[in-house]
Amino acid sequence: MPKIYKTLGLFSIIGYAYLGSVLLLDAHGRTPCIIKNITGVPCPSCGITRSIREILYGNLSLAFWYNPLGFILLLLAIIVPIWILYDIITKKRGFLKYYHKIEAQISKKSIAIPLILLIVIIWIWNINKGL
Amino acid sequence: MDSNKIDNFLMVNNKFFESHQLPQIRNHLLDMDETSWPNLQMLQFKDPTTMLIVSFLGGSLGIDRFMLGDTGLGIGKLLTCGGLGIWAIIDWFLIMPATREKNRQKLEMGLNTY
Repeated sequence: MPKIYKTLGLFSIIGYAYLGSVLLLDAHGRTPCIIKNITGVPCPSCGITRSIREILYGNLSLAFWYNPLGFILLLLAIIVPIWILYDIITKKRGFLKYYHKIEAQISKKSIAIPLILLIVIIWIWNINKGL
Repeated sequence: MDSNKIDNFLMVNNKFFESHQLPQIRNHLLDMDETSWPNLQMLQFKDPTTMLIVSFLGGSLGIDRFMLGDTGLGIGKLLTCGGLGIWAIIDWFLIMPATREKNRQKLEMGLNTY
């Protein structure tokens, strides 16, 4: 089995366990983010957990405010594990091929630079929000 | 290729590769002819120690993985605050072997093109 399947599979489990604990135990207020804990400055993905929680509660505009990337991550969190599981069961490698294809596309400067700019904008917004 | 040149190359560049792969690399180089030498000299490798520092400082943002060309993993780290911090810490240990492996792949590609 390709290494990436194991890595993403394991990480999906950890991610869902983390999301579950935040949603069910309503225990939050602390961040796993190393950057925020050391420097006090939020990183570009701070607020994504809260964003996903608001999506699940139906508060989409609040979710967008917490962190727009929450939508992307939620989509990935649903699609990636299902696709990997499908590949494992049917003994195919569709996800692997698509993953490499997308990796090659994103690595191109014409796509990478706008994406980096987007991340920087979200980061600056995060800092302004006082997350 | 001339074994003196190869030994010089390996002495200067041995920190860029995993030590257990050095004999294999040496044999591969011995099989190549002299015309590959200029190409070999022009290859640039990433320093594992530099990558470790990058991993400490920017690992949560996935910068270390982006620099190695692992764009997918880099995005994964970026979107998840360094994989909930866990992956960022794991990569502090994985980034040096990963760098050496990427260097080896670069060497193979550089030699195979000619």
